[in-house]
Formats: sequence, structure tokens, C-alpha cells
Amino acid sequence: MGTNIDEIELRGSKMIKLVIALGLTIFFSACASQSERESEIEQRKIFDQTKEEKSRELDQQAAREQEELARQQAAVDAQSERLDQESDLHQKAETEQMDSPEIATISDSDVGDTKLDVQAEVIDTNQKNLLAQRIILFEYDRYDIPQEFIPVVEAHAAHLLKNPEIQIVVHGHCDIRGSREYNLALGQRRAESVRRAMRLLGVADDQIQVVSFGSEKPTAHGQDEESHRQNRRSEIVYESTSLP
Amino acid sequence: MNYFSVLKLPLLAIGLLFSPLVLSQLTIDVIGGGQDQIPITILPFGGEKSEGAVSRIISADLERSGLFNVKQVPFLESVPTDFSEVNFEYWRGERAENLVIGKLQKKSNDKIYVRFRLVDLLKKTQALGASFEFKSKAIRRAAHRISDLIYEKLTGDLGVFSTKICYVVKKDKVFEIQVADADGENHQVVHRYNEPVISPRWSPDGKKIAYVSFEKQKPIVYILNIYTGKRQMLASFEGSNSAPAWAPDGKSLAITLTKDGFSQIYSIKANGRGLRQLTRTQSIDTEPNFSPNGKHILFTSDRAGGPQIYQMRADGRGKAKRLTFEGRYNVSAKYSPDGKSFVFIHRNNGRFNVAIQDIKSGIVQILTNGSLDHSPTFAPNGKIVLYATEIGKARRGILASVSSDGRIKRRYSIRAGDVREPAWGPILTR
Repeated sequence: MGTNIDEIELRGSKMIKLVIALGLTIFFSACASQSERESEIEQRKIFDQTKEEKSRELDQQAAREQEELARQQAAVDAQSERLDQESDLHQKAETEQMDSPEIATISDSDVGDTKLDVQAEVIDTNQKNLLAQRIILFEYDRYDIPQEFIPVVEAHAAHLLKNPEIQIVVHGHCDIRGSREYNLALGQRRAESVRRAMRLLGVADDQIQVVSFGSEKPTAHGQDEESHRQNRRSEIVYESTSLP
Repeated sequence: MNYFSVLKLPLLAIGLLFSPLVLSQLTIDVIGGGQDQIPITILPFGGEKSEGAVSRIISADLERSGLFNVKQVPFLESVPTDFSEVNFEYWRGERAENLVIGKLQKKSNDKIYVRFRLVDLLKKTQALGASFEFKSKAIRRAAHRISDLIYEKLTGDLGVFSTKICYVVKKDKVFEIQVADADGENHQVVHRYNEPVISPRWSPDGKKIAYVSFEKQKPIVYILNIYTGKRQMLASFEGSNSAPAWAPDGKSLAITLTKDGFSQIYSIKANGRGLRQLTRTQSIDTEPNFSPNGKHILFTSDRAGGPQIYQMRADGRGKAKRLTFEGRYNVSAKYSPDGKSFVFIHRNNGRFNVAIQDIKSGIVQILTNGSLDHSPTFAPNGKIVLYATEIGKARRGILASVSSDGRIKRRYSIRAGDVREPAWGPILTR
């Protein structure tokens, strides 16, 4: 009797594998087109900002001599090119394990005074991008914040420091495998890790609350590794009125 | 569906498992039979008509235990209902060894009288006989009681057909705690809300269920009296409140709290007072479970890195002893009713399976082979382990059980929703 069941299960698992494979293919192609779309939008945004900056600068320079204007124009063009590269780097920082130092190379540049404003704008945009990111993903059975998500935690900590009246709740979650009770404890740890990191960055205790939902509130419902990865997370939750 | 043929014909059994038979809400399919089954023939009871349920329920109970080779004789014109009427010559020809006969009599509008006999056909003696009255709506309970008596007589173990189980059902976004008979029939909803519930645990008297609800957007432990519907908040401290485990005397519980930062185990009186911390570590300590004599607690801790099972004194004093060493993920331990072994979930090559470990020898046996098995719970006779697993492409949660020797496997199937978090209730005094 055992062998019969095994056979059925084997056939079942082959089918499951096929379905997972199909699902993955669809998922990844969807992801690819999604991120393409996102980067397009992102680049257009940056480009628009650059154009604004450019025209503002042009207005400021209107009274100046033609030659001076041309020089500025050239400088701005160079800057705009850098900005494009810069925006690429920022996107990488979000997806790969890139740290913020890339911004520093531009502040060191000698392109001129006017660019400092542009510079501040860029940093702000970066900050906004990081603040828009409110999910920290964790490794299996781990609760230490992965390197790549530290800038996100830092950005939110900075935001909370700047706005001491704002309070957040950090939710801890796990993938659906294993014990629900152990996962509840693990989710608590994941939320606590974020709280601890923010405390170390100077955020006041009463600004952060933590709650674990264990494996009770998964966002991805597949059985594949990517779904599990998406579910192993901490979520930084702002009240709707105090969203950054 | 004839369970007899299911056992006899493995191919048919598998066919039935995957066929969309619409049975009752939660039914049991036997998927592996034990050897050395006890042959037993069950005759229709005298006076059984539409309520012919009694002999059929007894057949189903014994069949599902996996320990019996049950032959149910279809309706006959005339059946023996008393020992003196048994034709031993005829049954010898049928190669029958044990025979169950009985009689039902309507006493009043809502009372039925039942008398039954278990006949040893080889010794030509009455092995067991009993009679009692029951309310006509309690016919299932009466049949389960007879099943218990027959089971106890022939196996020497306690029967658990009259016990109850509870479990969580997720239907879309609604979570229910349901209580059902041990065979999955007769279910009733005792808690329903559109936020998750986990870890339902029976009080030792079978009247209350402690559980964890997220209805207030954080885990809080409640105790619900399932007969009065009265609910009490047991633990709602800052942080997470979870993992209730009743002490065998029912006067206190062990719970997991994070009020001091880490998930630690505390003891609390059933009235919510007298909180006392039992573990003091900087790691995760959770999933407490009392030994049947109340002297020890099994729990899950990640103090050595990954989660492993430990045992400590119930008062928390002394050093906890690590019990599991195989694999890097062992969780959800529950003592067997005799306290000599425990079941737990063991991760094995990426699969999560029910395993049993003998405490003295440390010998581990893996009992199941699902990919995501959860929440093992012993039947109060220690012979069966009920657990949650998942089936199908949609990975729907179902309940399944395995005998504690791993030989008999059964699946419960519920038609609607995702079933998880089972807990087997105690044997109630009769």
C-alpha cells in the first residue's frame, strides 16, 4: 500500500514542480516588466526634475552675459548627465547591496555653486525613495537586518528623529513553514531588530511599537522560495495621517 | 462507502482518496492498514430502522481505528439480539471470531434504551455486555460509548471514540475554532472572527479552550468556556501573548510573553493572576507543554542557534535539558499521555514532519511524510497522533492522523476551508 501512495505523491510532486516552474516563469517575467516600468517612471521623474532645475537656472542666469550663460549651460548639461547616472545608482542601492556613499562623490565635484541646490534635491529624492520602502526582508530563521536594508531603517530613523511627534508600529512576519508559535516569536524578533536598530540611531522609545503576526498574515501565497522570502519581513507602519 | 473494501483493496482506497465524494463535512479516510487486525462482525441492532445509525457508527469507529477488520452485515430479516440467539455453527462457517449484537427500544418520545453484547465466537462466551438509556438526539454519543467499551475489551487500551477534537478553520478571511467528535462529525463553531486564531488548547476537564486571537491587532490569550460561551481574557500584556498550555490540574497555564523583550515562558493562574517567569534567557523560549504528572515542561528554544526541544522543571528552577539533537529545526513538542515520549515537528531535508522521540533512549522515529506537517497532538490514549498537513495544488490544510507506531495513517477531509491547529480533547469521566 505504501508504494502506491508514494507513487501518487511522486506524481503529485512532479505536477507541483511543473506548476511551480510555470508560476515562476510568469512571476519573473511579470517582475521584469514591472521593474522596467518602474525604472522608466523613475528616470522620467529625475529627468523632469533636471529640466526644472535647468530652466530655473536659466532664469537666474538671464541677466548674465551670453558667454557666462553658455558656460553654465554646459555645466548643467554635465550635471544632468551625472544625475542620470546617479539615479541609476540609487536604484541599484535599493535592489543590490549598495550603500549611500555614492552620493558623496558628487558633493565633492567642482561643478559650481548652483549645483548644490540640485544636490540637495537629489539627496531628498533618495531619502524619499528609501522612506517609500517600508518592508525589510529577512533570511530563513534569521532576525538580523540584512545589510541591504540598513539604509531603509536609517532613512526611517532619520525621519522619526526629525519628526518626534510621529509614531510607528513595526510588524514582524514569517513564512508559513514550521511552527506557528515559534514563528510568532521569530516575527517578534524581526520587529524587535528594527526597533533596536532605530533606538541605536537615537529614535525615542515611545515612537516605536512592535507587534508580531507570525505566519498568520502572509503577503505571498505561493510555496516557492520567492514567496517564502517575501513573507519573511518586517513592515514599518505609519498612521495614514503621518505617512512620510 | 464501504470501509471494508478500502482496507482490502489499496488501489480502490487511493482512488477514493482522490475522488470528489461528498460525505459529511469532516470525514476520515484510512490510507494504511495495520497488520494483525482483530476480526469483528457487527450485526444490525434489533429495532434499528432509520436510526440504524448505532451499529453503523460502531462499525465506522472500529474500522477507522485501523486495528479491526470489520465486517458489517447488511440488514437481515431476523438478527440475533441476545446471546442465547447466536447460531455458533453458522458463524464458524463464516470464520468470524467476534460478534457484536444488540437491541434498541424506544422508551419515551426522547429516550432510547440500548443493550448490546460482544460475543466471543471461538470460546462461545459473552465477552462483554451492557445496557443504558440515552436521549434520542445523543445517538452518536451512545454509539461511540459502545465503541469505546468494545475497543477497550479487545485491545486493552482506552477508547477515544467519545472524545472531542478542536481545530481552526480558515474560510477566506474568516477564522473559526470548531469543536467536533473525534471522528470529525457533529462539528460546532465556538469562535468566529475575521482575524487569525492559533493554538487552541483544551482544559483538562474538557470544558474550556484557551487560544490566541489576533482580534485586537496583537496576539492575546483568551479562555473560552465552550458550554457557557463565557470568555475571559487570560493574558494581554505588552507585546505578544501566546502559546497557552494547561497544567494537568487545570489551575494554571504556562504561556509565552514578550513583555520583557524576549519571548519567555511564564506561568499564570487560570484566573489571570499570579504571573511568574519560568525561563530567563535572551533567546526565544516558547511552546510550553506540561508533562502528564505536572512536574516538567517541554518547550522550544533557539538558545543553541536553531529551535530545539528542551525540558525543564515546571517551576522553572534548575537547568533546562536539551532533548533533540537530530536536525536543526525541532519544534511543537507534546508529551505522550504516559509521559515517556513526545511528538514534535522535525525538519527533514526541507520537509516538516511529525516525529516521536522516546525520552529515556532518545530514539527518534519519523511518523509522517508530508511536506508541511504541523501541530501534532496525542489522542488521550497515546495511540494516535492528530496533526495538520496540506494537500493538493492549492496546499489546502487538512487534518490527518498517524498511529504512534507509525503503522496506521488516516486523513480527515473537510470540504470547505483550510483546516489547521488541531488539539485532541481529554477523556471525560463517564
